[in-house]
Amino acid sequence: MKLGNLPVPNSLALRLFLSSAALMAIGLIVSGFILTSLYSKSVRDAFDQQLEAYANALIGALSTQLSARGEAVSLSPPENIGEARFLEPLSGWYWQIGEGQDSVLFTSDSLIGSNLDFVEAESGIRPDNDHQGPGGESIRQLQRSYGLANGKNLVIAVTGNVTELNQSIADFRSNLMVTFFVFAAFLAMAIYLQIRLGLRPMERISRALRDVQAGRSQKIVGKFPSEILPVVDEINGLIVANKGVVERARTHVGNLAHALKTPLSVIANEADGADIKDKKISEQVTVARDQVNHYLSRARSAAGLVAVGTATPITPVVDSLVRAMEKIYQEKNLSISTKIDDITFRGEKQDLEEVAGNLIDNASKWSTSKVVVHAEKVSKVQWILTVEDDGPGMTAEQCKQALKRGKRLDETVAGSGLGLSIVVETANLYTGNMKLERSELGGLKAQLTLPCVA
Amino acid sequence: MRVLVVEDEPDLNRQLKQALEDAGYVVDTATDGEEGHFLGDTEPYDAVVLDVGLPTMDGISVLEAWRREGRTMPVLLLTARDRWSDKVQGIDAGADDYVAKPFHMEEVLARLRALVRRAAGHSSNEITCGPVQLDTKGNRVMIDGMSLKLTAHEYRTLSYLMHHQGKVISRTELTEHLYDQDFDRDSNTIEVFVGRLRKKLPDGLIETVRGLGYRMGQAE
Repeated sequence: MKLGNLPVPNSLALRLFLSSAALMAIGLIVSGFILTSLYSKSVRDAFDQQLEAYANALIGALSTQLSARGEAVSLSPPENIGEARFLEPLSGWYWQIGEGQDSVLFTSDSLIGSNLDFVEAESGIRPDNDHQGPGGESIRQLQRSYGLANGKNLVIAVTGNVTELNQSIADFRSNLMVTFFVFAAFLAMAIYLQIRLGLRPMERISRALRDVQAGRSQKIVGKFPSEILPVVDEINGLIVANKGVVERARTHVGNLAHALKTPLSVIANEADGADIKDKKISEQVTVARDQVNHYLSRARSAAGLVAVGTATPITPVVDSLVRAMEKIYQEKNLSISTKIDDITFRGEKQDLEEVAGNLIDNASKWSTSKVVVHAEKVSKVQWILTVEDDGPGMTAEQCKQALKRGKRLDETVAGSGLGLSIVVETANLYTGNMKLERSELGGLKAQLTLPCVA
Repeated sequence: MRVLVVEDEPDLNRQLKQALEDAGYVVDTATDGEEGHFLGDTEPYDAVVLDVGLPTMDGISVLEAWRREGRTMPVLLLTARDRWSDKVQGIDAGADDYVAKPFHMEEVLARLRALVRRAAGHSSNEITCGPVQLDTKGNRVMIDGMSLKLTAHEYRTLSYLMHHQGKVISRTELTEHLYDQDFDRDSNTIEVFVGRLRKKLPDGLIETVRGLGYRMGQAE
């Protein structure tokens, strides 16, 4: 699946997780930038206020030396203004007092003979902001200009070492990154949990659908959130409607069978004479009967395959068939023994009855006295129904012929010859297969492979 | 032997009745489920040919009702719905055998013959009583290997007696099983047929049990 040129994962959970994680990452990065710049601005403002305070202290110290008219008679360097770093050589903490932009009157001891550059602007932070001081250190410079009575200006520049300031900002940034990283990990986990929790009903639906598909359940059952409930109801409605359609199709097929076969019986029995015309009619009635049986059987099996959620426990089906056979063939005094594992056929009950019924009926018809029915699971999804008898059996060539549609090897025994081919076709529809071989009992051994519920 | 045919398709009903009568059965017919149920519940039939798809009451319901009411006569189901589920449902409801439509009449006759025989406890198509041999398949009677000529009524009487050898059969039972429901049950026709049979069969084969009826073969 592709969205534009971007590959979009097929997993809904992964898609939600990735999109949430991407948005979260963008959000955290933007927040990081904003917080860092706010912090940076805040600490710089505080730094600037500190420089401002030092400038004011210098002005204060000088103002005591001015005459009552505000004239500078003889100015001397201001005393220490309470900051030891102004005494420490090349500490980055400097002050400089000039008369106008060009003449320097006094400098702090820390400048040890060097001068600061006054900037054009009379007041404010130097435009190039953080720059290198005389010792190569990063400094931030504040400049203030005060007009004197004699028309001249006193220009005061104060600088501070911004290495600590920058370090503080860098520390804040790295701490913020660690915090955001932990926060991101927590958020990712929270998103994951939220998605898992939020999508759990979807997983339950998916599991319930698999159960329905596998025939373990007839419909989607369980408690679902109100947002999903309409979907569940719709799916259940579809399953019921599907079964209804199949059931109606079966009923119509049954009605069609009845509608066709009764007139065929009348025609067959009206033409029961020995002349050629009667024989021809009788022959055609047999052909019509076989065709009707064949296509009705296929239609019924195909209808069964479209129904989801069909599963049939085999024991009751085989038991009822054996009970019926014992009654139908009671004159033969048959012994029909069964060994049926606990298996659930993945398909329609009628189809299982049809294939098992035809095999057991054939075996009962041909057996001398013994029929063995055995059902065992051979893999997680397949089982084998084996029906053996102690009748005359068949050669390999006869086995091959017997599986052909409508082929009857012995016309003396009642039947249409469709039984085995119906079994084969039904097995094929269920992607199963059938094998015929000689049984150890002496007769025929029919082995039918069919799907089962895992 | 008296048989009930319950089939709603008039032509098929007629064909079945004709074929069964030709085979020596006395046949009553019904064309819907309720009528069939009533007849099967009130008349003593030796067998019933019952269609599954019937108006007013389906064949399976009719059969279940009979079995619930204790009617044990053998029932041969005729079914166009010939899936094993339908057959098993029929057998579980109490049917003794089934014939899928479309069928050839011989198949119905053979199955019915087998059911009647089985119900009377015989396993072969040929029933013997001393020197007398009844071929139910060929509708013939032989004495010591020689064919015996009998009228249809005589054959039916002998057939019923031979199917129930050793049992005392009352005149009423014979009448009920040899004639359809419209027959005048007070007539002495049965005595006439038994008398004729006695003349054609070896002496003492059909014994009169005074006040009770007739018994063929060895006493129980």
